[in-house]
Amino acid sequence: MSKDAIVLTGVKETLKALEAFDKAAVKEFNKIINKELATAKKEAQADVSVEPPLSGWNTQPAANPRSRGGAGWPAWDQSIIKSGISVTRAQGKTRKDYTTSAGAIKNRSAAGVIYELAGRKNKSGNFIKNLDKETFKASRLIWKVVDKRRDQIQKNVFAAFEDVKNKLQKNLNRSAE
Amino acid sequence: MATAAVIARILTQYSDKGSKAAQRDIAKLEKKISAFGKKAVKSFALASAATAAFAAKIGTDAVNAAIEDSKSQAILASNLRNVTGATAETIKSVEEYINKQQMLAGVSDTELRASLSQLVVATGDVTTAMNLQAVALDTAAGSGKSLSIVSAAIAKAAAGNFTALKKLIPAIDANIIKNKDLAKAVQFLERNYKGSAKIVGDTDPLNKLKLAYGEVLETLGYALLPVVIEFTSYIRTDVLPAIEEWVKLNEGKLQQSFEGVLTLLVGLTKNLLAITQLLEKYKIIVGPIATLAVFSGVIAQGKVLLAIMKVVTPAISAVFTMKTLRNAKALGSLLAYVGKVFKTGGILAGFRSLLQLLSMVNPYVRGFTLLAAGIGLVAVGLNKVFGGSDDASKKAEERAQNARNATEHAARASEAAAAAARAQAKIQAKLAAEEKKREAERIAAEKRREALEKKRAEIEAKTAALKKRIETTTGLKITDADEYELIQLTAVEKLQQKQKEADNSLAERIKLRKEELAVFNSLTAKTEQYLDFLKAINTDGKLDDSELVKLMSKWGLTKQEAQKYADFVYAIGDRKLSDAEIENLKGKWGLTTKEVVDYITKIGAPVDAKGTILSAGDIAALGWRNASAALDAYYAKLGQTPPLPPPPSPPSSPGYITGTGPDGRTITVPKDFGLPPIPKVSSTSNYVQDLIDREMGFDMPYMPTGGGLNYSDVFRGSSTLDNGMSLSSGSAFGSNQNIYVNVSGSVTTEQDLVQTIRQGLLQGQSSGYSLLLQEI
Repeated sequence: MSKDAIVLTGVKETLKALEAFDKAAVKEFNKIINKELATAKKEAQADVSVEPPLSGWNTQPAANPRSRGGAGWPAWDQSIIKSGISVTRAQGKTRKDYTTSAGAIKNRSAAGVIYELAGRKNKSGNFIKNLDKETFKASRLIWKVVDKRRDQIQKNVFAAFEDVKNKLQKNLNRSAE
Repeated sequence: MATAAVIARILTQYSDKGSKAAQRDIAKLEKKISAFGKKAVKSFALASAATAAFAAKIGTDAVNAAIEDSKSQAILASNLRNVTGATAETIKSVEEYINKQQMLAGVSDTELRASLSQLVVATGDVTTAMNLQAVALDTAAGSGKSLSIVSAAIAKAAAGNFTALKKLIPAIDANIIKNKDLAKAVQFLERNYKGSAKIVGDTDPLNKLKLAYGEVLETLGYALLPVVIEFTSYIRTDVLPAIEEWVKLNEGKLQQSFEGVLTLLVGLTKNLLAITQLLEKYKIIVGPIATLAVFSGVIAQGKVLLAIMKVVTPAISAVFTMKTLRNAKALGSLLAYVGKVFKTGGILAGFRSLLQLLSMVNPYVRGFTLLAAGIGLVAVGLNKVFGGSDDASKKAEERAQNARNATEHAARASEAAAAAARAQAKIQAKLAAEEKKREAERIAAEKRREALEKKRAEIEAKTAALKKRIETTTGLKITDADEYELIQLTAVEKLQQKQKEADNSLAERIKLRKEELAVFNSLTAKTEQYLDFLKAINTDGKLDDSELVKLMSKWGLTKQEAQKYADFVYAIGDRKLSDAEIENLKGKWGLTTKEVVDYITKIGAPVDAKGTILSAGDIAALGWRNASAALDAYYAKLGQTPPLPPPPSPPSSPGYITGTGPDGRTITVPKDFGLPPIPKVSSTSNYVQDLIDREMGFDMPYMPTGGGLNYSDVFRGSSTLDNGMSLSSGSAFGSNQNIYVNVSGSVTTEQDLVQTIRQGLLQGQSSGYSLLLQEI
């Protein structure tokens, strides 16, 4: 995570106040955020290959699943993994630094999660070694995109938010006169 | 298994949730700050108590020093006046001399005054006394004895008593001692020790510094004592309560003000300590008196402050997180400047700078740090920790350290106790769960056992009731259960034996049946073969090649065998056999008469032999059937049922044959079997069919008619058999007859029945033929 992370403050209140004056500006801001998130999502989905990353990774569900609490090893299905990658603007949990999310990418499918995180903590085992050799180190899908594009997205959104705040201020000044 | 989603946050914001969480944390913080404030008050109370003690000590020392100084001045002045009649000016000049001598010789003015007093009293002259004092100073410095001892010895010598001097300086000339020559003694001392005092004084600057500081102390003691007293009471009555009130009033603003306070305080403490270390280094340069007490005080006070901060800092750090050290670094650099000021401008200038520095800090922080430093600074300025005050500071530090250790120990003990309690509770819970499980298992086992017992009792009751019912209804006594097994085993044994006999009997029956079937098949085959050839042979007795081939392939005959058979069939096909035919056959096939007869017998077709070649027996053998048939025909005309063959004669009768049947019983049959009457030949035009019917009826007693074995085709008459069975029947081969088998005895097995019937058949035959049980 970058050390100088930008934290937006008062997004909800600002947008709510601005909506009373200029709905189009609010829509424009939301559009910018959604566009940035959508681009990141598409980039993450593009990294999902048709073929499984390892030859032994089945493309069909296990006939007699026993591992993973009975669910069995998830099959590599590009469409399922792609559909499991989505964006969200929900606030989510509050962290210890009192911040929450204003936009995030999610990877929900079981195969997608395994592919994303395998080897992040436990680096031993043939599976991890082969996966790292064939593809990349852990953080292979959404985190790869986030690490690459987060600063740019934050910069764009922050600029858009500053613009929103300025517009609100102008409107407030005008109404005060 | 549900898999948690991976969420990669891109945009972050502060929100209502975060704000509420922060407010909750601030509420917790306020509680902790109150606790911190109380701790701080206690810690500063500790410092103030130590400071007050220092103040009291220093004041006391200063006053005492002043008093001592006054006293020694007064004593000297009095002696000068009394002994030498010195005026005030003289006394003053003497004081000046003493002050100078103090710095030169490195001896305190009190000692100098005491020494001069003794010498003045001994000599009665100030000048002489001053000269002698100079000698005494050298002698003391050179011999290492104290000035007072040397002065006393010289004063006694001046009074005529050289004993002390001799003891003091053993090397002095004995004559001098003997002569009591003071001048020579002084010369001796001067000669040996002249200049020693100056040398020692020059080589021990610390002593001079100490003396100089002592002067200062005396001076300060007079001047500062009232101030110290007032200041300490001010700290106790005003400062400490103000701290407490200040904390209460400023709790709400502490979050802003205390940002970085911890860093500042820690940095301040560290820098104070650095300053003390710097000053400690400096003390060697400045002088022992001025620097020693000051730096000791600073060091001690700094240590006290550090001890205080070590107690307070963990509490603060638990509450705050340090975001930046910028302020501390700035403070540190400023404190370093203060250190330099200490070095160049003196103690007071340095303290002033420190105060200025602290005033630059955030007012809320300043309140704390200023107070903390102010206490130390004032204490230092008053030189409260000079000399013995180190002990107080050490004690304060020890108390602070002990308090900290006690707190930490208590916390650790508390954590250990809590962990032990949790572990114990866990073990107890586990044991309780295991006990509960065991109890449940025991109850389940008990229930199962009870159910089993109940079931067993029910079965026993039913068994008893059944036994009673059987005994009541049948009158049988049921054997005890203990004998059941023996009875059952005995029954099994008998059953097995019976089964074995039955199996053997069955095997025997099967064997016989197979033999009969073989015989039947053989006879059937024979007849069929005969008929086939009979049909195929032309009127001229020849066989077409095609017919021959067919017959050969069907019956598995060679050409010669087929032709031979055909010739014989042709010969006997009309049921007549003449000599010519016999001769023809004999000649054609190279046979003897007997061989011809045997061949014809093998064929099995009835033949009426005429002529002279064949013997009567042969003729009879070939024609027994004809005879029997004729007899039947005769009886048929008569309308009578032909009688059955007579019963067997006793075994010794020559007309009978005795043998052993398959079942082991002795069978007696007539040589010439009374053949059952030959069935009436149908008057149909189908000669062959008639022949077949007849042959079927004759030769194959078990020949099935219509597909099933029908004993009615066999039995033709009635007779009484050995075992009491009687047979009665109708007649006629080849037609359905009802045979009645009356069993007057007992038949235990099917085999017995079959054997009995067979015997009957054998007995009923009148031709003397024996049934062949083998294939031809």
